[in-house]
Amino acid sequence: MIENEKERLSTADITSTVRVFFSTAGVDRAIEADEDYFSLGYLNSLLALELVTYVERSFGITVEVEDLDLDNFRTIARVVGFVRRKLDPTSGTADGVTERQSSE
Amino acid sequence: MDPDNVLEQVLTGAPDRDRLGTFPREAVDALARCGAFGVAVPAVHGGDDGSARDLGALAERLGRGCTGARGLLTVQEMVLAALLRWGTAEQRDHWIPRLVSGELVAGFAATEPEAGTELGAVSTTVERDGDELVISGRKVWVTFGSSADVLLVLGTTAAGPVTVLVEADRAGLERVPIRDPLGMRSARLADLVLDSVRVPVANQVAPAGFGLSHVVATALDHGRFTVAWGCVGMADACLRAAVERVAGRDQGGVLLRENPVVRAMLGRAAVAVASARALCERATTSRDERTPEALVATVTAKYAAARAAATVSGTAVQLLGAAGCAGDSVAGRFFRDAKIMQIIEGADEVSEVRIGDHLLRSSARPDGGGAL
Repeated sequence: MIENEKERLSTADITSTVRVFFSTAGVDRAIEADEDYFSLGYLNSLLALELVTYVERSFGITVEVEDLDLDNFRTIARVVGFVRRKLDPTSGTADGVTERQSSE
Repeated sequence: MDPDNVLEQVLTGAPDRDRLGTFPREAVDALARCGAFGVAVPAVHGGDDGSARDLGALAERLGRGCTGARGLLTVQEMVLAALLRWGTAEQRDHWIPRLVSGELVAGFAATEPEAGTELGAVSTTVERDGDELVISGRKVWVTFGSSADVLLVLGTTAAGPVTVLVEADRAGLERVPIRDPLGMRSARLADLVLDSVRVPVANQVAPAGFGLSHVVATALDHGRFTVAWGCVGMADACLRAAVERVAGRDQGGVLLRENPVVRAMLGRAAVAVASARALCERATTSRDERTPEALVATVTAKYAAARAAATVSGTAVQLLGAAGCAGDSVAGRFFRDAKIMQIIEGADEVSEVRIGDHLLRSSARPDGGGAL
């Protein structure tokens, strides 16, 4: 996805891109959007940095030290909400996924 | 003097530094004057804004001549990378220009007596006390630990792993130089004892919980990259020494180069060097393109290059015979250094597991996975 497509990305687009990462994260089943994969042990420390690089590259964003908050990363839905906020800082809260889905 | 000549002059001192186990401040300053520490640092922080390719080329050049100099580049670059990636604006402004200029030498203190590969098991404690952090624990095998001005220390808190910059002159920090190590003898290796060392809270890098998975992981990723290219330099230097010896050696009337066994040894060594270089090139491209695969590509390159350095230096010592075993032998020095390269920044076996994991993950991809 390229820079000037940022604005056109829907929550569904972001979710499916984030899901691709988790489909390759050594997980033997689909992770639910609200499942805490960190506490389930699905994302070891080696993959955590790969996830950062993956979302940066996929969405043309930069993960800063201020973004290092488990609340931005602990579930797929939270990663999606985080990406949305980085792409459009006015797009709302961490629960933006469900809000967005109902509004779109 | 031309930076190129300055660099060559520093490298010329490698045998003496290795023999004496020293790395004088003047050599650090000379490397800094050549711009060695700012190659891949953005211009806004006083660096040269170079690419991974530029950094790799420098690491190869230093590796070809002096493992201590390459080791210094590696630790400086590891701490720089951690700060560039996860430092606050204030931390970057304060530390990065000083590291680039060589005013400060950095050390990276993660490994402990009971936590090597499994860094999640570190027991160094970091506790908050007002505006300060109090750090206690032991660290081992810190490159330039004997002379570093600031150390990036991995510790643990109730909220998970945390990294803290600890100035070496803080009360309670004791350095214990490692005497006569197998290799890396000029890299000022030291163990550290931290006994309630106090630093300002502002020295913490990234929130607790992210010290290992993000800060240390970033530093180690960068460390692997310069170690990998350094190993290519070592391996290539050993191959050249072996070829030079074989091409000129008259063994009791029979030329060494006419012996097919000797030629086969050179052939194997040449393939090892070329393969390592190709994997390092691939990792370099991946890093310059900032692909997520850059991490595993770098693990792979470091693994292959360290093995190439170990096997090719062994071949060179074998072919050089008595000259290879002499105290002033470059091949002999690199033979000792190369063994350590197979252990630091991820031992061979750890890299193998990680590469295997990556393959299995790739195979789960909807497209069936790409190349390694």
